[in-house]
Amino acid sequence: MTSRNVASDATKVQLRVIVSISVWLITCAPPPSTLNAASLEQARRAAAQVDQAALMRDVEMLSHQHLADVKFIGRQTTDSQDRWHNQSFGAARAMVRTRFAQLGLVVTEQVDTQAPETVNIIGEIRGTSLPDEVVLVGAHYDAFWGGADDNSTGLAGMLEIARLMSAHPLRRTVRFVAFDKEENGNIGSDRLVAAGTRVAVALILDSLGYRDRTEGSQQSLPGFSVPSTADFIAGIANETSRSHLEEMLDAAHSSEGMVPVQGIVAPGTGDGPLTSNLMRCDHAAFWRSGQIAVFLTDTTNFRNPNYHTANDLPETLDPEFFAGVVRIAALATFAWAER
Amino acid sequence: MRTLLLGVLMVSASASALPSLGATVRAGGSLSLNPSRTQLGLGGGVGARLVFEEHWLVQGDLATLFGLGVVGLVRVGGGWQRAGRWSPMVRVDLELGFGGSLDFSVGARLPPRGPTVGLTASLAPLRFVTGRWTISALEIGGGVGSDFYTVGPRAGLTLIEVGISF
Repeated sequence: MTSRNVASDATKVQLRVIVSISVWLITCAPPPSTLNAASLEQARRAAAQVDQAALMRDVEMLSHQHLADVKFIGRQTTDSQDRWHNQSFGAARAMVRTRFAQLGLVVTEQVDTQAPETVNIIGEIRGTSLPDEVVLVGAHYDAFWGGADDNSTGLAGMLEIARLMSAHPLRRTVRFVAFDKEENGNIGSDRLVAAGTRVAVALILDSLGYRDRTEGSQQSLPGFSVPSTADFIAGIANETSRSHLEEMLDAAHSSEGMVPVQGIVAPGTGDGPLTSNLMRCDHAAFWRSGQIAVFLTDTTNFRNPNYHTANDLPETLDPEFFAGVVRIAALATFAWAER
Repeated sequence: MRTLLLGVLMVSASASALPSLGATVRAGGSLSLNPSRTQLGLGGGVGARLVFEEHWLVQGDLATLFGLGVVGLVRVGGGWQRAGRWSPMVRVDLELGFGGSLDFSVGARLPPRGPTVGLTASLAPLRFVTGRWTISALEIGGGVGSDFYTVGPRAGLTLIEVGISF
């Protein structure tokens, strides 16, 4: 090798280093976060066991119980229209509590008696080697009318994941929380976080079962770059939760039986004036307290004409889509709890 | 780089007048709409400029914009202005927008963390010079931007800019 060649090689190396550093400085991009292969494979096996028929049975039962909870006179309730969802929770709460106990979870309640009273139902599977690290799966159990999509689907999805996990404790503790009074402004989840709850990650499920394959069926807001056909599930994170959403996207994309996930990342904590629509559920309390939370939703009123009406019934849902979404939720929960 | 500096010095030396240095203050906004990233905001900032031979100028400015979080916008560019009291200007800028954005997955991937970059052309039709002062209103610009993952349109608006020559 001549001295000229050596000099040339040294120059190339220097150039490569300079270019690499420049690209890194410009993009400030750490490598995408990924889950390890072993935990992901175990998560895929668990997610494949999601039972579509069982999910729909639970949705039908919850929807029926919500309607039974509310005192109707014809199609009108005895409460004023804007407050009557305050009545639609008792039977669903009892069902969740019973199911957690049947699955062998450690069941507790967080009761806050200040008006409006809230009762969060908590079921826990203790972690085998990292019990102090908590992966939280949450869904609200109050509803308008029958609330089939909003939020019997989220609640049924959470119960299905609890069923799958109850037989296989993982390294981290998995805590399932049925939140009260989400429809009144996320009061139940606000109070859980305010009481000092700290989690490794929270996965919040709200409205998972409505799909419309018609072009133009998905509504959006200016600046929101989402598909125009309502056949995807939205995975929503803030900047703190971004790497967990990346893991979910990566895992869902590389696994079978999933539905398309549209990832959305809100800037900062997510609590800005132009992103208030991304704060409309129980993940908001976690984001505001600086914790990691990913929110799965079919985007409710941006696609579902039955949102918060008497027509939010089980027969309007797409069971195949719903099961595909719950597989994604199960996949992520297993992978985060076991890695 | 040495050649470029030498060229600039030669152009300056050949001109009858020395380049004049000035400072600017502006208020306005920016919008970048890539399939995988939306970045926008309204705010203001400060800048510096050099004017050569009455018509040619280079300018750089920094601005802080508020909208989707907080965006730090860096612009460096150059342009041509008409001489006289009414001095409309055209300019081309390279922009970097750091900070807040709304990100979307395309395929299975989110865009990389980091700034947006843009190349824009702007027109300042309502720009006037009086003595050492320059005032410009409603500058509009458009171009192309990227987040190093996808490419989309980019637009800018300066509501008002006030400059002074030293």
